[in-house]
Amino acid sequence: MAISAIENFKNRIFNATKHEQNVQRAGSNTNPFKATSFKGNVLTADIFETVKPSMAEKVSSKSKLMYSALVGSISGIGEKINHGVESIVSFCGRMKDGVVGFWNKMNDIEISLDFANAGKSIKSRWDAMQDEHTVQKYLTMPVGKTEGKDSLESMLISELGLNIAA
Amino acid sequence: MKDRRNVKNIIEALSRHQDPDSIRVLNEVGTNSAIDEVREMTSRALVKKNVHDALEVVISNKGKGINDLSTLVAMSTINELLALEDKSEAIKILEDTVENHTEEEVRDNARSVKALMALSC
Repeated sequence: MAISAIENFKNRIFNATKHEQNVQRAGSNTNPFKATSFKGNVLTADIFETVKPSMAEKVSSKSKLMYSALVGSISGIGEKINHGVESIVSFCGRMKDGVVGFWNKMNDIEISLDFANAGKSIKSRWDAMQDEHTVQKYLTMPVGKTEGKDSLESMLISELGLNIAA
Repeated sequence: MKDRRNVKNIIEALSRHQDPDSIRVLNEVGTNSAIDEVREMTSRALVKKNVHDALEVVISNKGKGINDLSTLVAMSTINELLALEDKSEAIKILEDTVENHTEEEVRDNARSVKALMALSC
């Protein structure tokens, strides 16, 4: 449609009608636009549409633009929604992976309370504390047995008993 | 095995005691014990005192301290000597022992320990 209209328009420009040629020849004026003026010229109907487009067509073409824009926007929204949904899905996936990973880690961690060793450690510390207290008490006592019965020497001999070789 | 906790406490008290008589008690009672563990504790206590008379007992006496027949006692005494912060008195006694002691075995032991102490300084 558009191509044929252009062809006709081209013929119209370069092949003037007989009437136009006469007008041109007879023209004794200097108006350079006279040849192209519509005065006295018969313009073929296939160049310009003489009939104005109906309201329905106007609405139709306008609607087409609107619809296309709307469709475009809708499709854009859809993409955005899709991206959103995908991000939510990926987020949920990551959360799920995290929870699963956490659960696996919790399963791998072996929590054990070594009460036996803890008890030993406490006992050894308690013994060390008691020993230190005893040593501090012994430091206030006399050393030689000649000074009395409760001396360190007499206590040591008593503790060793018959184990004294000398 | 008998619990020697109280023996250990008495020897520890004697090693910290400021009375010079504590060295005599450790020497007469502790180092003459038939029990290796008691001799070991006594030798270490004497080294910890880080005074001339106490160090002389474990360095220059045959059968005591570094010259003990028990390897455990001898090695423990040597370890305690090496752990001393101030080794000057111990080295002095070792040198004196190397030069003047009548027993060759005691001199040899003193020489070896002196070499170890020189390396650890």
